[in-house]
Amino acid sequence: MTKLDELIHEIKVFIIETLDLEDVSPEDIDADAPLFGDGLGLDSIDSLELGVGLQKRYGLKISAESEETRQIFSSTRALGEYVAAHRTV
Amino acid sequence: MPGMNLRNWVAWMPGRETAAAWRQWARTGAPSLPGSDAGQTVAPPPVKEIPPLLRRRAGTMGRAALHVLTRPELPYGGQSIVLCSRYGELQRSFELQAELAREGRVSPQQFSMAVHNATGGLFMMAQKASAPLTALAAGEEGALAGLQEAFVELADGAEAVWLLYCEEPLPVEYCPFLDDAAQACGNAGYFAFLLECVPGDEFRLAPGVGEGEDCAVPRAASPLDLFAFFLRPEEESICLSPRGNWMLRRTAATGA
Repeated sequence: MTKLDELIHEIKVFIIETLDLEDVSPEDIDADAPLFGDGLGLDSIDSLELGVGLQKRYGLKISAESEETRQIFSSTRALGEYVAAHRTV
Repeated sequence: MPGMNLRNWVAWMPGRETAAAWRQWARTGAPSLPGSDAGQTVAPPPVKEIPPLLRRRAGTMGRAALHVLTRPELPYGGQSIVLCSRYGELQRSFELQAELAREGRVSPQQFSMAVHNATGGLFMMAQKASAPLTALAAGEEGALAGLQEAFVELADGAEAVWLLYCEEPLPVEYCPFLDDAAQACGNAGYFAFLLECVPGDEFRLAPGVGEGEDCAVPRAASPLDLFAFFLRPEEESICLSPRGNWMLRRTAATGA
């Protein structure tokens, strides 16, 4: 498992815990599937919750509305790559 | 005002989950407060009928409410819902304020649920229903206010109204200030019950006492007082509030 794979797994656990996703295990989350809409089925409140959580956990500041944000949240892998590059904690 | 019939009901509280247990409670004095279970953690109903993505946002009281809203013996038919709770999910609101004081920010997820109609909203979303949803917090006259709303909706032509009462214990920090004899704080005191009200002649609601009636009670009837009345067919009337002498009367034999 590469360092990025480890971080992606950690982020899957973080998402499950932050959003109280019952009956979901990290293995259920496809690293390349969209987090919102069709993939995990998360909604806009979840994106705000993740934003607050990412700030606490990794010291990231993610703006609420930007094209970049859409890209960051497009999949767990994209989020992992962003956290790896920008984390301050 | 036209009358109503109670067509069906379901109720839940920890340790009192069957209709038989509730009838027994009504027969044996119907204490409005549960016994002390301080230190115990209440296990909320699983509410498997609500999709996990919606269910995860409900707290213990919310799950109790969703539980009575989703019983197979009382299927939802698209009627309007009146949700009454004096305090709502105050534990959530209190924790949000504590979080704000501690960290300077709050959880968006928790904040989105900290409105009085949030639990009803989860149910409507799960049902993909667009029926009217009224959420009432009417102080100590909550039992009366909910019933008034149901009667008015029936008088306005509704074929059925779901009237839901639910409450949870207040956070322990509130205990020293509590002046509500029908309210628990600490750990015990979760309940939810749902009444399916339809037009009929069984019950009538009106202000003013009749001959032989007395409404000079020290406090308004609590939701559980009201529920006990429905479960005791031998009782002819209940004073719901001394303010205005609001009486609910049984006008025909009922089998509720």
